[in-house]
Amino acid sequence: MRSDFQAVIDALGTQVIGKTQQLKLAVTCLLANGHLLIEDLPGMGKTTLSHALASVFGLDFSRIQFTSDLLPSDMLGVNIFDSHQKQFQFRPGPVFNQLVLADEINRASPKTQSALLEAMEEQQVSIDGTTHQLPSPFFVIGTQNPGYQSGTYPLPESQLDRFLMRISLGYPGWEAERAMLKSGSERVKTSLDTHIPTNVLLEHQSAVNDVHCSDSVISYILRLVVHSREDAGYPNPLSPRASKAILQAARAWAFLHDRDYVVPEDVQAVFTAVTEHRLRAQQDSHFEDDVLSQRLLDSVDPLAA
Amino acid sequence: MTAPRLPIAGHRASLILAMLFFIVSLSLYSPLQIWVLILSGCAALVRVALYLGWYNHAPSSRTVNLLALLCGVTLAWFSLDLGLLLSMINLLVMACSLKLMLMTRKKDFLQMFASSLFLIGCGFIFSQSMSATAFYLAMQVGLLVALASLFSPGMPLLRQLRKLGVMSLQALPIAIVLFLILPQLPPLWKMPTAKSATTGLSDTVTPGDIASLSQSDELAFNATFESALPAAQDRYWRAITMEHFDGKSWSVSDTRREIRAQYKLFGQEFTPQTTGPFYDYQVIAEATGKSWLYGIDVAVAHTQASRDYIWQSSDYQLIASQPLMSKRAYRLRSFPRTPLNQTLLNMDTRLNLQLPGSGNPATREWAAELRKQYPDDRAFIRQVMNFFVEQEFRYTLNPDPMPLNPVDTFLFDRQAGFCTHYASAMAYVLRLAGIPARLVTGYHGGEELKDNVLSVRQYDAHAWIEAMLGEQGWVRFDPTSIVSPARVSFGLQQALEESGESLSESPFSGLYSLPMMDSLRLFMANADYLWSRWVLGFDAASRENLLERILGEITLWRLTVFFLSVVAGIALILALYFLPRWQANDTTTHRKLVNRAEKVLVRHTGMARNARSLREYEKALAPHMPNEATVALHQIISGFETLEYAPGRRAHSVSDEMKTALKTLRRSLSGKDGAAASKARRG
Repeated sequence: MRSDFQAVIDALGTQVIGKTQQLKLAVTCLLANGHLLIEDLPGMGKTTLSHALASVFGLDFSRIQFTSDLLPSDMLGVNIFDSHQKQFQFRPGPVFNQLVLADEINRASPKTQSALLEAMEEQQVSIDGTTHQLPSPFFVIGTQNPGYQSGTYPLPESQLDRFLMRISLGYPGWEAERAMLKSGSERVKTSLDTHIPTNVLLEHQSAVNDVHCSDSVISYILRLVVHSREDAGYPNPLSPRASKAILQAARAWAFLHDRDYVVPEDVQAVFTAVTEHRLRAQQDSHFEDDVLSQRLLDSVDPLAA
Repeated sequence: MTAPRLPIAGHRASLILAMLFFIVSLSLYSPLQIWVLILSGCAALVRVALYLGWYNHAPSSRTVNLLALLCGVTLAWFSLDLGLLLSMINLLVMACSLKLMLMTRKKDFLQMFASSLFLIGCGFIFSQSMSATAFYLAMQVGLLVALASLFSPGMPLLRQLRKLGVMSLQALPIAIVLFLILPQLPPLWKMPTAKSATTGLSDTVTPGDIASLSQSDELAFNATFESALPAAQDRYWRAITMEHFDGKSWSVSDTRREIRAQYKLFGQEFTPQTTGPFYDYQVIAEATGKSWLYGIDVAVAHTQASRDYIWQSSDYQLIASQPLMSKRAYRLRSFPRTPLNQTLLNMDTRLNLQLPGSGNPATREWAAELRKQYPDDRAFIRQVMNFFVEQEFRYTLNPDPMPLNPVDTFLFDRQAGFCTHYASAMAYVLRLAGIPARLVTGYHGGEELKDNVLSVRQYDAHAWIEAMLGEQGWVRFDPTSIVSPARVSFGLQQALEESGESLSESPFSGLYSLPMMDSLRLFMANADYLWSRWVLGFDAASRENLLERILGEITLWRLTVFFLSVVAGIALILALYFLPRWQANDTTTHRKLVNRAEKVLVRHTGMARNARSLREYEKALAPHMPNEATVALHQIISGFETLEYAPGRRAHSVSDEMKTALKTLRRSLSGKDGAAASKARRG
């Protein structure tokens, strides 16, 4: 692990205790220039994690709380008529920030959801015929409650696909929660120092693209996605966007571990986070007994040529 | 490491396997004990309950162990009666049933799969008919479906079936070639004798017995002649000679049995000197549970395989080396003109003059009187035959019972009966007159299934006599032919029609009177015959013929070349299929090295890598290996990663390091001594 990122993870670990793996995945997601979906029950530290990430990388942060009556313009911004200058002026919405926390994204109406997802994909927003560039880096953390909770509009598969990774924090361990409770009052929110400034993060993001990926790793990824398409046990086979996502995430993971080439272990490490939400059919997303991505990993030999 | 667990509720593969196992067990109902069948039904029920989710865990192993103990004791109790083979089959089904209840892991499933295949093999011991073969083939395909759904649970059933169909078709040519070419091994075990019901002729004939046979249209045997069929009246299929008469029943003489036993003990066999014209034919005999075989007149085994199988007794009877528990083909050559006169004449004479001490006074008196008039043997016999004609004896399948002095009653009172009555009475009269005579049972006639093929059924059962006339030896006389010439010339049906007997209880009535049913019957008989002849009857001789047709003259070196080329051909086909994978697997040195290391590790730790990555595998192995090996393995894996995944670095030094590490790995895993020795060397 690179020492600078080790420091980042350690710092994040003071806020979200005992979830090193998820923190690493979140940082990887940021490095891979992808958006992150956190799915969990309320109160598990989703928001805390986003705040911490923003401060560690010194990113502008905004939070949009999604509700069923949130309109796209509430999020993207509006053109307001300036009576002094006698013209319309664009008032950017909260989405014009480097790190946007879209909280409880599945409580908003589909119209609003798709407006955000379009912004995520294009990194730009078009309002009244004018295109406004979003800042760079642009990182969206969507959080959602599990689909079976009431008052939710589940994200359709096509939109889930836009998120590079989906992670779930889960309940903390006994020790972690005890430490959290003890340190309770001392903990000051968002008081983390900036460990990696934004311009360095941008450099790192472009360095990730230079991580070497050998033919055998690429063929491993291909075998994984092809297997998901050929075996009828996978209701939603992996798309080419998914295979691109796997590769990008694996590169970021390798970079995070201070390697300039990808090994199959990198693919395996990010695989569940990258593919599980794409593989699984929406209806049974709460049915977690059988992890499809793990089954897929188990049925493809990383070494086979 | 624990084998992967199978899912329980809704696991299709387990359910299919359980059902098929139960169906195969049901098909073995005759050798199985009823409680074993019930047990297998219970096991299938357990699987159904698990599949439907009524229960969510298999029965505890404690319960099943207790059940196993009980079953084991019960089986041991019955095993003395059952004999080895049947006990073993019962044991197999019992064990499989218990295993089925406990089947929770993939390993168990594979064991069950293999055992079920074996069970199907066992099924063929008891039935090899075409329908049984089709049934078991279907079962086998079903088992493959179960296996396929174990490994790809998500695949829809239809696609699985299609895939399996394609694979089976690919395997079919290889199977056929192997069936045709590979020498057949002799059976590993002998069938239990006389434990199951026997059919056909019996060792003892009481006049009246064959009547029940004549109601049966079951096939006795098919005979395929290489030349034209013998004339209808010459088709006397000898089966058993009976030389002991107790006043009511004829049976095989004990002395004859002893003589046979002695002959066999010294490995000797009666070989008749044959003369005159002959014809060759193949007989496919149905299972009887007995060991006598059928042949026309003086018949000798024709091929080596048949010679090994058939033992000829000095009364010209053919005896199989094992009871016919299943269909069996053998080849004979018959010499219709050869006299039956090369036997131990003295012994034969003595045996065949044996008479019961008392009974049938009228016959005794009549025979003595007649003998005085006709001292010449031939004249006497002619006179006895005349007697049957003059007295207007009647041929009937429903004679009145004759419990007391049966020969007296038959000859002078009722004067109606069928072959055994006539033969028995006549042989008795001849013996009374001092002419050695014996009863021969067998079959007469047969239906022409197609050109050169005779199909002989149980209702063709017949009995006649042989009398010894000096140098001529044993001469056949058939009193039935005098009384009812139609019986001999045209068969039973004709004979019965002429005697005006109702056919209501005969096998020809009812369904077969419809022309369509009759042709269907013929078609089925034909198909069954072809199956028996070409598949079951495919023996060493047929193989030799086939090879001769392919190779011309068979020489050792041609044979060797042929076998090798066939094997090479099969190997080539398989290689063409598998080679791309092998090639791809072994392209680079570092891949080879890792594969070798994996083999070493699997041998040592028993843990296969499966689809895990190398790092994960290393982590799993570490606690089970000495430190030195762990370090070496790490070196190998790092080297592999560098060469396989890193850009631009293809240094030979790395693969050399890997080689060294592999050596170290081997040495440290090959045992503590090796490690110690290596340390000592270094020191």
